[in-house]
Amino acid sequence: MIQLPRYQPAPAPEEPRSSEIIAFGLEYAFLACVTLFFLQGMTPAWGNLLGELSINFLAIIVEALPFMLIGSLAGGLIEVFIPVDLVDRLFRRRRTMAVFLAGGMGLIFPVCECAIVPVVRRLLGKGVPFSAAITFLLAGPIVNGIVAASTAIAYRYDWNYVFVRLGMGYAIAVFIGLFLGFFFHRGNGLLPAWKAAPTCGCGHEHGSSGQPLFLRLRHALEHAGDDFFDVGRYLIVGAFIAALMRSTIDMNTFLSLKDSPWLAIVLMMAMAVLLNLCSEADAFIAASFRGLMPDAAMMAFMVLGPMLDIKLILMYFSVFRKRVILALIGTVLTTVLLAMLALHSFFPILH
Amino acid sequence: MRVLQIVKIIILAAWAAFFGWLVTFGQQQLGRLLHPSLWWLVGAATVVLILFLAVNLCRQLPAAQQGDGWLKWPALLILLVPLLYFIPAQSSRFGAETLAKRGIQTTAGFIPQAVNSEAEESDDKGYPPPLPARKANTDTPLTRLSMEPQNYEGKEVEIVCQTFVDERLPADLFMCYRYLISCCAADALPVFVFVKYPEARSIKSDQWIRAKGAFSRIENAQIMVPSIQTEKVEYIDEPPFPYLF
Repeated sequence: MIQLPRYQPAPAPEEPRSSEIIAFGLEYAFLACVTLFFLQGMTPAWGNLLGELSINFLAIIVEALPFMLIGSLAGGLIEVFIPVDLVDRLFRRRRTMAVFLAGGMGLIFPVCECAIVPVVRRLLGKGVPFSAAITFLLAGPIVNGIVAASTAIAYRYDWNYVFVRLGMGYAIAVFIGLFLGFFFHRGNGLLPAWKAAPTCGCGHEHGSSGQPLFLRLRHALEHAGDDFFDVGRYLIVGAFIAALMRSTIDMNTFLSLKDSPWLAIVLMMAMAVLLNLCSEADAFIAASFRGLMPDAAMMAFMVLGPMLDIKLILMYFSVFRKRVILALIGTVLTTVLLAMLALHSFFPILH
Repeated sequence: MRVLQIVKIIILAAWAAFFGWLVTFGQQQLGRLLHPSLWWLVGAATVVLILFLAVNLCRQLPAAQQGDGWLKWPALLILLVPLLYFIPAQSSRFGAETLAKRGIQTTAGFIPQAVNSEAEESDDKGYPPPLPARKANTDTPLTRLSMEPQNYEGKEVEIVCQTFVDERLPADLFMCYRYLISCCAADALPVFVFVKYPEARSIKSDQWIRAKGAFSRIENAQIMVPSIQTEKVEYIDEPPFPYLF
């Protein structure tokens, strides 16, 4: 009888690293806070806030978790079924071209921001270059057909908004991918588990077609299940913070400062980061500000949100080093701000 | 089988059971959280979770590959937090407090923001003269009234919505609103009409009502907003699906 190789996660280090102990402390603190808040919410004074937060929290989770699970499954299938030499031909041999290609990959594989991180993790594990992975991470949730359709509907088929949103998303993602590619690569940008391309560390070659299909599917599911446990907690922490923001922030706060275009852009960017809305729904929120905010401010909300929000930042910790996350946050915020100021000043197509 | 693996199996089983229940017996609860066009997602997630559960049940991990158990406990418990918060979510509702936060207000009143009403471009100003009722529509959706007010001008309409009594409004006027969701309840935005009713101040906020009356548009905050004029307001139970889709 032939002994088939079975997927086993890489052995855990014998001594916990300091980062693991810090993560443990933060996770423990989060659990303590949500439990205390839950108990506090049983009192009449906090009841309304607990109720509203619970609806927002559950709504975000019920919408986002399925996308994350599907993303994990797609990541597992990529891990097992995409041969390393295909990735090598498509991406690693033509690095600059790969960035431009990655920016439009969402048109073929539409993924929202909740699903993108598990997929990108596995693509990186397969050997996709750092800059191409960053570009797909940022562009994928914007440059896709579903987001185009939702934006068109929200703006009553004013196609200017659709083309500008997707165009800006693509251009900004490609620029950031190329820019960060100068400073970071797989060796200094990724967590150890993801930089040792092209294998996942589980001890066998997934790209090989010699194994029975059933066994390969089982490996894919095991990989995907591990991704759920790795990334899921970041999604839940991010969703809770987003729900808290959504339950406490008054939309009118933003209106009082609408007269200054650059301030309006900054405020809408802040709102995009804090509200953590799905890229398929955020156009409807942005459209509700039509006539009240400059168009560039609404565009800032729709371009930044799918690239950077609280839950995404937390999910980035499952694949990138802290220095990369800091650089990514700084670059994305700066680029989106400058791009939107330029849009407001030089391209009044939306006005 | 190690304890941590058993905990993972319990977590997967809990989520699979929760999602499975939502798409089968718990649709009324799901309707308060997610747009019906996205319910297939919850079904798909149930299938994926069952697959993960199946492979984890068959999986045997050597102890050395499970790492430090005490470090992993909080990360695993975090995955159960949403299930804890589902308890208060079942009985909670978006009410007037949410409306005040999500509805954009000016000093002159609320601006209907959930739909981009073309009424803004209308050259009608002020209270139109009362028009004779022509034809009744059963439970006219508020979205239609907001988006296509010209189609309902002067007609008798029937609305089902939640009340909001604002002291800044005239004594014979209150607001009646529902939430419109695009994807999930977190993006819900209020859609409302004004109800001209002689005893508006006797109405309690956050009650579900049915009102029938002639539709017209009135000016509020320098834009035209939909309104109905009625003599009778009937308190009713909350509809099975309270949101507008």
